[in-house]
Amino acid sequence: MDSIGENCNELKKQYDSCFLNWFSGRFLKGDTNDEVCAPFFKVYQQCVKVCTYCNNLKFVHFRDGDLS
Amino acid sequence: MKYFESTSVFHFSWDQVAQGFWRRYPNPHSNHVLSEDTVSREIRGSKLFTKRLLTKTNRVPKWGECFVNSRTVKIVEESVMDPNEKILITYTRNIGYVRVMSIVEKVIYKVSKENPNWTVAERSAWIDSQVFGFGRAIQAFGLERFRKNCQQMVGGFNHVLMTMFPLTATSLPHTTSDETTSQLTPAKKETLKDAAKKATDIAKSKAGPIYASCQPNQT
Repeated sequence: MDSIGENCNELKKQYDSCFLNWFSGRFLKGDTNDEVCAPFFKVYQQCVKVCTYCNNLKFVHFRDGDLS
Repeated sequence: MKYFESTSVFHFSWDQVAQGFWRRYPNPHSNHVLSEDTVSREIRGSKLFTKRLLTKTNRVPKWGECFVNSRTVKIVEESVMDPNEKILITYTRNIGYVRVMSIVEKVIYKVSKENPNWTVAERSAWIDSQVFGFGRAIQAFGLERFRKNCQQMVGGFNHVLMTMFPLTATSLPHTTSDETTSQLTPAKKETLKDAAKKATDIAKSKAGPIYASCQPNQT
C-alpha cells in the first residue's frame, strides 16, 4: 500500500518488511523486543512527518486513554 | 447519533488474523483506500500499540458538496494487540470534517468460542453529524422564536388596536378606561361595558386567524 508521500514508498516498504517479519517471527512468539526495526522506522517516520505537514496535517499522537 | 453493531466470524486463527491485519491494504475491495502509513508504534508491557494513518476517497453525494469540498478523507486507526490474551482492539475514526460527519468504529477481534481456530470480530460504530443535529436545533430554535415573535406581534397589535379603539378596550384593565367609565351613569356604564365586551369579543374573533398563523403549518 502506498504511503501518503510518494517519496516515502521505498522507506515504507523496507520498514513494513522488517516489521512483518518481526511480528510473525518474534512478537507472536512472545518476544517483545522491537529494536531490530527501529532504524527503519526512524527514517520512514521522518519522511512521513514531512509529508503530513505538507498535507496540512498535524502529526498524530496517541492520547492517553485512547485505547482504554 | 446513530449506533450500529455487528459480528462477523473469520475462519482463521487469531494469529492469522493479527498478521493479516497489517496487510489489509491493498485488496480488490479497497480501491477507495489511497494510502496507509504507520505513524506510531510501541510496545507497552506485552502489548503492541499502533497508530496508522489512512487516506480514502471521499465519496460525497451532490448535496454533501455544500459541506465538504475535499476529495479525500483522512482516517486514524489505533490498535492494541495482546498476543497472550489473543485480543486485538481497533478504533478507527475520521479526522477533518468531523463536524460534518464523524464515524467511530471499534472492533474487537477474539478467538471464537465455537471454534478455537476461528476469530470473531465484534464491531460497533457510532455515526454522528453536527450538521444534522444543528439543522434540527435550528428548526427548533426557529420555531420557538417564531412563536415568541408571533405572540409579541399579537400583543403589540392588540395594544395598537386598544389605542385606536379605546371604547372597545374598556373591559381590559386600563386606567384611562376606568376613568372614563367612572364618569358615566351606572346604566350607561353597563351598556358601555357590554358594548366594550362585545367589541373585544369581535376583536378577538378577528384576531383568531392571527393566532392561528403563529402555529407552524401542520404539513
